[in-house]
Amino acid sequence: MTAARLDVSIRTTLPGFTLDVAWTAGDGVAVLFGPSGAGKTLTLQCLAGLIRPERGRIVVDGRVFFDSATGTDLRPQERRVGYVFQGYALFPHLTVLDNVAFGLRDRPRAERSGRATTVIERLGLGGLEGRYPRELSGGQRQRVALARALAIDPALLLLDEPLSALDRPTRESLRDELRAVLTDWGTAAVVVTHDFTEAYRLADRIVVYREGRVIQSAPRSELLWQPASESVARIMGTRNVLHGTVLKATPDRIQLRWRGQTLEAVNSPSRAYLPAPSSPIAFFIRPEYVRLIRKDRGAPDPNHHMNLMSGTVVSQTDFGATWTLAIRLDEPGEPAQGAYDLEVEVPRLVHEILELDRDRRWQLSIHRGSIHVLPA
Amino acid sequence: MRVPLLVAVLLALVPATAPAEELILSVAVSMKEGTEELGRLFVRSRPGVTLRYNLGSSGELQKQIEAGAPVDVFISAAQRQMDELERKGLILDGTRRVFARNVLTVVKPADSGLDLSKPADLLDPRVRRIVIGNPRTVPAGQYSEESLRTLGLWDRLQGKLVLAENVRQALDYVSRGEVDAGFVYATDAAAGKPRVKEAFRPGEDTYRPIAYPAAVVKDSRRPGLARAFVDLLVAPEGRTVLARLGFQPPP
Amino acid sequence: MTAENLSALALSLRVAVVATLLNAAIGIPLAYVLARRRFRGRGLLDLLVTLPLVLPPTVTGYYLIVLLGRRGWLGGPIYGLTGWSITFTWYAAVVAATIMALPLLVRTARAAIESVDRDLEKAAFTLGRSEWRTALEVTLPLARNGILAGLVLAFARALGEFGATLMLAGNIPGRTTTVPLAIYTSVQTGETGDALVLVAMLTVLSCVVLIAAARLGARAT
Repeated sequence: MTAARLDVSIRTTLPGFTLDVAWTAGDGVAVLFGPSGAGKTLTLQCLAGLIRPERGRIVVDGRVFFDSATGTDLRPQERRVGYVFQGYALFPHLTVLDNVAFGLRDRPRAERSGRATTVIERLGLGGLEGRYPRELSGGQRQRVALARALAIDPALLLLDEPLSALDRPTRESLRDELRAVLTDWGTAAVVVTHDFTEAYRLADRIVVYREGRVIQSAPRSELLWQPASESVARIMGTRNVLHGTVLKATPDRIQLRWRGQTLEAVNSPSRAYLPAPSSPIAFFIRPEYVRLIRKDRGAPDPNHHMNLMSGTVVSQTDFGATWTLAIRLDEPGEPAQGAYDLEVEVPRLVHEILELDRDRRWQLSIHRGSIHVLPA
Repeated sequence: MRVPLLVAVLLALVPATAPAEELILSVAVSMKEGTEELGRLFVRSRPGVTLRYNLGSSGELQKQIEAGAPVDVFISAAQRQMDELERKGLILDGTRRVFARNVLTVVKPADSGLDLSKPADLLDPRVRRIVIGNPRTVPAGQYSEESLRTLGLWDRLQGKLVLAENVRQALDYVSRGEVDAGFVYATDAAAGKPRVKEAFRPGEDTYRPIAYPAAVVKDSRRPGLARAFVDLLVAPEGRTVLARLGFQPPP
Repeated sequence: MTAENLSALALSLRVAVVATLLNAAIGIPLAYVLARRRFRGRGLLDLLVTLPLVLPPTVTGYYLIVLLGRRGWLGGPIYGLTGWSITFTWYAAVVAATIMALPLLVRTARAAIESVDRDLEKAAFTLGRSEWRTALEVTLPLARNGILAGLVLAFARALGEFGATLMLAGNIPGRTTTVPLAIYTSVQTGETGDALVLVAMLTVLSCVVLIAAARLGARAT
């Protein structure tokens, strides 16, 4: 395991809110993810030295920024942190070049404009040096803010909702650019966002925030497949979060009862979860991993087709590249999610081949590895 | 500006039907104590009569009357202002009387260590500031200028002169120690004890006699009562009161 | 236009300019501190700075005399040491004008400074600027129009100062008679022609000043 480049622990109280978090991050980009008001921006401000927490310790690349035990508290000016604010905070009365060069004052004049120009070029802003922020598009402004932060060769880069002010197409193209820039530059970076797709695309590690606490800190794929709890799953916008009852639990498998079905799921690899029989259990099934069984290939084989169910498509939505189906099982009783039990996602091609417009009744199969239990 | 404002205020004070019997007297500041004492005398034998005093420099008061202030009696500290009003027909014929005289004196702060006993002493460099009333608007100032010119000191004292808006303000500057000496009336010097003390009196031959005229204003609503007040000013009882305060009798 | 009127105009302009410069030196830092810093006594400072705006000018004039008169708390010792007193000098007119106009500048400048996005200042901090340099390079330049408007208002107020000036500086032609005082005297003596000239001068000057302030306020940063 690589040594942590970032070691953060903060405990501070504001009127009506307590922040109590601790997490570490290695190389790459750490993303603080969670709903608004969870304390993510507050954390960034503490990292930058703009707010002084009551207790805690912040170490970046071996340098102690803050330690309440020893009374160390470096001023923002001393930390060399590049901060991209949510509204970009570009100086309106300065040109792009002056904005980018703003932090370079302590360097000799010749080096100053050279460095600024280099960064401007690298971020694709060449030719805009003499413009003022009000003359730029949203995407350009974001890049100038980034350039300004990178120009000082920061020890740590902080980005607060870098893409939320942009319209959708710009946001998506800039997202990939941003990831490339962050990877290229190699600076330790912390990004704040409330959008899971953004978090997933930018992060190497995701730290999930909720109401001032960290509820999971993990590499991004681990978060996707193994949310630590139902809370995390819900924050991520996970679909098909369901509740059943435990029948039997072993370290490898959990057998559970849900909507009249007996399902078999793999146990959570992140912890040995052994709930007692008859206890409630939450789990989720990713919509794209529910298989509709083709009818032209004979009866389903229980060995091959695990967790067999049958149901009816009660509604479907066209998302262009994919279709999302809402399926209600044949079981009597209230469906698990309002009018339906399961959301199923199928690629467009599959939708056409299976003639889903015409044929509504289907048998479903879910591999046991695709049912993810959520430890309580 | 004070004039229109004061007119408005005075008009507001006089209701459509004046309460019982009320007289409004515009009185030059240096005659304040004299008029108040005589006023007390006046109402003692006239139950139901109230007097209201409007104080200011003679110039100010004249302007107010010209602007239509509802005044009954005007008491000025110099003839000039009364002459003006008479010329404009604002005075009730036959009611104008000179009822007192005053003399100039030079006062200094009570704790002043300066030795001032004659006019030339004012040239001493240790005398840094001398206050006189503003000659353009204050009669006491006019008399002071006249006296200083006669004495040949006016031009040489220019750099030391501070002007006051009325003679009581001049007295106030002296008693506060803001100036080293000041020209006021003898009656003011008396009123200003013990904070000021008299240094010397410039010779009465260096300025015109200071005469206080009084008259009933033409548009007075109570001309009868107003006349009675002016009569008191020249009556023996009136003269006794004024003499006690330091005024000289009229010629 | 008589020589006396000209001297009143020249004096008024001189007093107003000096008072405004003094106000800039005192008022802008005050406005910054009130806008951006939290400290004990902040409310009291705010109150003191606003007081000349709401107190009658004669009351302020009275306090100035108590403080600066020949026997005043400050004026007394100074007179004892140097034999000099500020009363009845044009410096007294400057002091009166400065104090009466200060609240106008501070309030306007403070509002302008408060409207500067704080994230800009935070960005400057992270980029290595001290608070002092940030104020000079970011906050004040961005509040510039509001501050200038405040200065213009302060200048207009200083130009028209009367009550406190009369009390502290007196009305001495050639030395402390500013245009408002000259108008006062002219009306007293019935010299309406003179008064009109002075009134016209002051009105024109005030209009010019107000138009300048409006233009500055309307200009986008």
